[in-house]
Amino acid sequence: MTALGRLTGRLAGHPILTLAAVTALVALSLVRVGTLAFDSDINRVFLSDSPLSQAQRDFEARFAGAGAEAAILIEGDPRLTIPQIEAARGLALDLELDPGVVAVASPFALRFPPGHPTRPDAPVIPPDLDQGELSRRLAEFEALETGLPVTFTDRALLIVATLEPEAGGRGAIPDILEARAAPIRAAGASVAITGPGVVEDTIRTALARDLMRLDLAGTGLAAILAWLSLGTVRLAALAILPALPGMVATIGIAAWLGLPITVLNNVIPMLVLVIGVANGMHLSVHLARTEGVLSRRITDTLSAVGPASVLTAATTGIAFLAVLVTPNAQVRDFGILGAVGAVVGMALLLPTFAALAALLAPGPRPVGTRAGRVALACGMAAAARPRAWVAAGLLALAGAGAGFWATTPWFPYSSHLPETSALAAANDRIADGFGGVYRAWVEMPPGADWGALRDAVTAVEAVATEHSVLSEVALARWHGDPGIAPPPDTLARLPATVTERLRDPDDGTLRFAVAMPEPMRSEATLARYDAIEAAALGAGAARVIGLPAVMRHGSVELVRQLSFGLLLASAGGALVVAAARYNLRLLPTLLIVNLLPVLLVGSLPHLLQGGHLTPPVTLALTVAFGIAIDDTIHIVIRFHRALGPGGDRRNALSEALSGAGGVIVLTTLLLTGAMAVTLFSVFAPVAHFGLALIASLWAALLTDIVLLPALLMIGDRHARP
Amino acid sequence: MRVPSLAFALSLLAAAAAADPLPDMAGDWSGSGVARRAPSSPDEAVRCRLQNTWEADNARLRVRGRCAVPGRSFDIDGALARRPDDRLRGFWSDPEGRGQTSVVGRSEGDRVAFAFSATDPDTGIDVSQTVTWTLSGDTLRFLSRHRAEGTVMADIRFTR
Repeated sequence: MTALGRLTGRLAGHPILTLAAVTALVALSLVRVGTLAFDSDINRVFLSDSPLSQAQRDFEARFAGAGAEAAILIEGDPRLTIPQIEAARGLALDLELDPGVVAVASPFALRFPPGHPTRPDAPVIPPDLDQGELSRRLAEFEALETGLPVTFTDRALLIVATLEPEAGGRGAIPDILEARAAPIRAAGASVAITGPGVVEDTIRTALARDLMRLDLAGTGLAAILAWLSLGTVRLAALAILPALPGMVATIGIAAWLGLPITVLNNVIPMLVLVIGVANGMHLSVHLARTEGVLSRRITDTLSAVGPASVLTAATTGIAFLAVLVTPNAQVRDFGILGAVGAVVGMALLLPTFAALAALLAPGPRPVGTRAGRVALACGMAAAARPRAWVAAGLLALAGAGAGFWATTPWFPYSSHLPETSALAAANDRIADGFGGVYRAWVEMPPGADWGALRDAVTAVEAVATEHSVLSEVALARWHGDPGIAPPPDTLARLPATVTERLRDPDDGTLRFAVAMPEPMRSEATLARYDAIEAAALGAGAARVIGLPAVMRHGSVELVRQLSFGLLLASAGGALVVAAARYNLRLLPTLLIVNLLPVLLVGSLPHLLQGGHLTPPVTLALTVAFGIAIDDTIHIVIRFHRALGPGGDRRNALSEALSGAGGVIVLTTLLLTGAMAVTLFSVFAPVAHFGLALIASLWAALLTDIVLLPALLMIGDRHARP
Repeated sequence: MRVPSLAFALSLLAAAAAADPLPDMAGDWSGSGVARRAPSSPDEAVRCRLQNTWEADNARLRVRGRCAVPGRSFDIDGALARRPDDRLRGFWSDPEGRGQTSVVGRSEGDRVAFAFSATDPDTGIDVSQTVTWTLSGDTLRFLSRHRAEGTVMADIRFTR
């Protein structure tokens, strides 16, 4: 009997006291749950410790007075009518007067230059609107070819409000924007309010609902599947209930650690549940199959399965910790919460199981024999021709590795939006008509003169969407003398929040802005971003910063770091298990059996997503390795226990597959069912995470009951050549 | 974009310089209309929000608020007090922070008629105006004309 068996055996002797202690611990973990935050900070998704991220932080700190921008897209059907345009102008003027709004950019602020021959200093859109006159004036302004952004077409117009940091940051996009839009909607136009701050707010609101929905649905599904798999309610309860304290405590621990719930880590509590249920299945099935008095059955079960369960917690924890190689804050939150959740979940699971087993365990009975027969048939068939199966496995591993290597890092922020949100579509329409809702800033080197700025602006205007570049050069063209910088009174026509970024009042740094969609919205938007960046740098710009730049480069860095974390988790997990079994020769077996399913699924994006490898999929692969190696541990440990000194490998394998193999088939079914709830998440990253995890688990099941037996039989003299 | 801030804000304050209607001008007002910077300038759409308070002890109306034309907004700040001779006197703060100026007015029933002399400090253009402010229930109409040319400089209708 192991020390773990003895300890948990004692706990089983005082089940009520043990359950009360576990309940008290869970309650303690929930003391601060009221402080749990739901986070969608766009910077936490993409920023790291890279020079670009640092430059972005400096830029934001330098201009901290202005907060997020809200873009208001007003569209007519099929054209904007005069009453709709008048209502839109009313909204722009009201926003100018609203507290919390720092600046408003709208087509109504456009004016003809002071030196214009017929309309000096006149508004392009006059107070008395007439459709014919409006079209004529807009055409006249276009003919000036200033390059100034004209966010007005026959069909739509765009107003951008810069909000004070408090107004646009955590907590809310002011409801006032919605209220101000009411008269426009009443006039028959559609209004979409979007922008980085609005996107963050939409994500934050949906996160809380999604967390509760996933956790409740996952628990329910796991319970039903456990009951169907094990055949009795009491055994199902033994498999499910010990996992619940870990799931609940994980939510509480997030609050204690001050970790906000994000689009990535909101799946962790459910993950802790399904990992716990998988271990609960192993424990329950072993308990059901063990003969004797109850106390002896419990200690036997915990002695036989308990160490493997503890080891699985260690490997799962290592898998989560491996993602800490990235300095990305949101991914680190995922790794920390996952690792702590895995360990705490296991620490609560074993005592809870021991106590509940003492109260609920049914008498001995055969469980999972059909599933065991499936595993046995597959495994023994592979064991009969081990070299052929191992060769096929190695070939598949090489192919999958090459496929994984050839994927392209990809991380569209728009996928963070709940699928019920219309913002992504609104952002696309803004990108089509007016450049986009995000703003990149092209920064000139220190001491750059007017000529250098003009060259860079001209180069970028040649490849960017028309009217998407805001620069002093455009203002100089408007003023009538593009050869020199615009005079102060011309600059004063723009809000200070813009002009101080165009020409830094402290050090004179020159910049210009390019409105664009998020770069990884599509291949076309990525190509456009890359062309703009190349044009800017090629024309002498020092760098490109702003959210689009961070999204473009931060996402690539993030996926690369996560891929590295995956390899680290694989090597670390396999090494820990091999070391725990005092058998380093196990290392290649563990790596081959568990890397193959992960890399196979990792190369699936070539078939499903145009070769785009996203962070949620990479995270799922890392976690999948941690879970997959758990099943391998159960088979390998049972194999070695059955083999003993000088035992027959074929018989030992048969015993391991009959015992653990059946449970592994059942747990894979159960995990699939429980993780299937992620497919109903309103967040695409959560659904992608769940899908990749399920696919990995099935691939891992196949390698565990086919490739692993073949590897364990290598060198057996009874195996066929 | 350049706005008719000086002339407009000055005339707005001056218009409030009525005798009897002053207490009724207290309260929150929202208005929209048109304004222009100089007689030769084009009209601009304008919106204003005023928070006027009546100080009964001093028989003084304090006028505070904010107006906006596309691309820019500016503050309105001033006060008007009724004198024993029934004339109204007060001050107005330049929205650009360039000091204050005195204003004087007189009421005629529900209407305030007013005139002031001023020059736009930026352009040097004469923006002297005559102003009427007509109170009708919960509606207030502000109308100012250039004194020399008679051109409408601002026409804004307020409601509570």
